[in-house]
Amino acid sequence: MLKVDDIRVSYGHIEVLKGISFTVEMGEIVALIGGNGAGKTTTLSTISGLLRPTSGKLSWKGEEIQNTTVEAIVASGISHCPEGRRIFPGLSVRENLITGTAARANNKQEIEEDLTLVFELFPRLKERIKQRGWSLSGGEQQMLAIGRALMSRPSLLMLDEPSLGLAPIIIEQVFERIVELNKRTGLAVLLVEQNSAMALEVASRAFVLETGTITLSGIASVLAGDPRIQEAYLGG
Amino acid sequence: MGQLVVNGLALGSIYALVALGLLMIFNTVQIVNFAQGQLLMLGAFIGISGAVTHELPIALSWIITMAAMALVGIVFMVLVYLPLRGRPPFLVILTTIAMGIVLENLALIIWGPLPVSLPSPVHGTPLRFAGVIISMHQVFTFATLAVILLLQFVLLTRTRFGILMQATAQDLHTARLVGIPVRRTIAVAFAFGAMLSGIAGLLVAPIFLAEPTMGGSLGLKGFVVSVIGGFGNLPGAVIGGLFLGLIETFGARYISSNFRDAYAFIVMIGVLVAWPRGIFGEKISEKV
Repeated sequence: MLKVDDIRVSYGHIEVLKGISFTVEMGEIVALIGGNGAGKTTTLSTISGLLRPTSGKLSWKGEEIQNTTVEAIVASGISHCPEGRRIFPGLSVRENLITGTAARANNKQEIEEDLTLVFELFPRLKERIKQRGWSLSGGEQQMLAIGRALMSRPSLLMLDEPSLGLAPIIIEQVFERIVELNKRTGLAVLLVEQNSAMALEVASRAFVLETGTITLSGIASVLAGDPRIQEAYLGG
Repeated sequence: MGQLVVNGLALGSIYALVALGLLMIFNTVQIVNFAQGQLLMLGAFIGISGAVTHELPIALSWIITMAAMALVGIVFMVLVYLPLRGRPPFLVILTTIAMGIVLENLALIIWGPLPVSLPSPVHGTPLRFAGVIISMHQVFTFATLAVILLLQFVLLTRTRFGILMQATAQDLHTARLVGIPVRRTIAVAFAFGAMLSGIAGLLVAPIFLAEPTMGGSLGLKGFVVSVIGGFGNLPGAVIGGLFLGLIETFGARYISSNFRDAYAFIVMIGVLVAWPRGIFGEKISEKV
């Protein structure tokens, strides 16, 4: 469904992605793991159209999207939930969710239906519906960021470090929801994580990114048992 | 006394409009537009071209001016903001000052240096109670401010586009990322901001005369009012505007009218000493 083909991305003279290729199939959870500065966030930003590759191809549902605008990419079904949540601090929970519909037609009824779906998934958000974004806890902000990403009705959800800065019990809850969503709706998920143990547990396949190159790839459960992974990312 | 209050509030309403226009742009792109006063002047002269030079009905001239100013706002965005996006903000701010000078001189070439008058869109006998006279133009000024405040509130909080505009203002990068057409939200902010200045110009021209250099002090007062109200805070700007109108009117009557333009800055300095974030400045708290 998503095909990343030999993508190179540079910031000025520094090449951050040195020709990476991978795919995400329909209904699949794929994990992209790797340390700080490996290029994980750059990969997601390139797919969502915020950055342009210097070479390589991106194809999505059979069409090339490496020159498509961010709005059009969101509208075509790729949704990006950014690192650090980045919810709008001065907007209420409801308004934050509405911003996720920006790339869709303004159909009030459909938007209300989707709000209901998000509130079913994260009942906590409904309790906080009128609260401003900044007043939410870290876990609630993460739920809100995922909810906002879902409001564009994606078929691929890209999650950047959803566990960052959250308590273990909250991480557990967030991942449970992601898996539930994937099972129930067939939503494909591209998951970027430093918390590799968690990521490999929920993903079907995984890729390891090291300084702009994919060094390992395969079935997530197999990778979790790989000694190289265990040593570098799973703490021995 | 009562008369001074009415006159002060009418003048203050105009300052409030200039400040609202300034903040519409500032809140969206974090750029203080120092050509806001020159946009006001442009609005006044477009109104005069329509209503006086071409003898159009004044209401039609208002509509034309508002549409023209919205367009001017978009041109302004294309010329000043887009080419300098991502550069240090002071560059953009300097460019707005330069634009102000260009607009002032263009007006001088097109309309000449002589002051011109624009008729008020409303006529009729002034209201009187308890010895206070309220002209129809003053009533119209208050009503215009009230309608604009209401419209702005409804646009920003009750429509999806307004929510997207607020999101753009709060975090441009994330706004792009979630798929908000930020070019469009920013363009509307510039169009609306310029239009508000133009309306202020149409309201000022019947009271004082319009001349190409009228924008400088009015634009600065819009800025002062925004600072007093806690930069970025819309209700604060309106209250700050009315407050400054009152101070100037009372100051001119009881202290000296020679210092009329100085009161604004004395008040601003006083407010900043007492409340460094302005009277209604919010403490911005963010939780990570």
